[in-house]
Amino acid sequence: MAVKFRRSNDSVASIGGDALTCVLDVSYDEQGDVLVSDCDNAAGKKAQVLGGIVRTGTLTAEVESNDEAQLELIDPGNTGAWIDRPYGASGVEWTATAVTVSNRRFVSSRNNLTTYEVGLFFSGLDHSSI
Amino acid sequence: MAKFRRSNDSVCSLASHVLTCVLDVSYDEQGDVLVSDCDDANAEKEQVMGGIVETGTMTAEINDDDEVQLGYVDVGTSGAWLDQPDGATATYIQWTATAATVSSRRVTSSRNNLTTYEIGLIFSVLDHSAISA
Repeated sequence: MAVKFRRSNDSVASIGGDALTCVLDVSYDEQGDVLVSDCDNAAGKKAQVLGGIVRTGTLTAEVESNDEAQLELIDPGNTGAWIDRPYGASGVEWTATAVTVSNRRFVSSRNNLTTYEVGLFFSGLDHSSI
Repeated sequence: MAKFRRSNDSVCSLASHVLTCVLDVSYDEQGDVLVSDCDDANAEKEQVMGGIVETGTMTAEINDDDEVQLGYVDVGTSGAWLDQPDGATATYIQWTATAATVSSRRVTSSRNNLTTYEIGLIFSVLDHSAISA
């Protein structure tokens, strides 16, 4: 029976075969160019054509005090194969031939647990059923 | 392993001057992403990583008789950067930079909140590492 789901400790996310721990959320943004024609007359509806697609994403995770190794995995410029199984070893998975970390924001505060957020861009991003 | 937040164990210094009561520190490493328009139709566009700009912010509370703290974070001040957000324990995360320069500062005193300052930082050779034993 199909169920709604959220990320949990069963979720799997990895870059280059290295697992990322305590991932809070992952987002995928697939943004296509929309090319709009101005050739129609008067109040006619403009024709629209889909152009190239840019695929990016973000990932947020908590980090532990003695787990500097996690930060090494997501240094800006790092690249590798991408696997994300948000519901664990069954259901939907997202894969990419290559993901590259394009930016990172690391925040430590007295009011919140320490987290990082990375920006990602993908090559060959796809979803499938495990 | 433990989740952590900043505390009085945290260590943060600029040019070897310890900054007190730091509330939060953020690091922003922003890479250029260069996007190719050479693919046809609605194919996935090729993306290439470009240069990376490393900046950050820091917020702290300030005491009424501690003007010397403001002297440590005057705009234009530059020096080596050290941040050990969960303290100086071996194996814990630390951030270092050959140089951090204060690029901006905002000091706010109010009847509704404690007095704080926020500074913007630009880094040269920002890096993270595990504190050695």
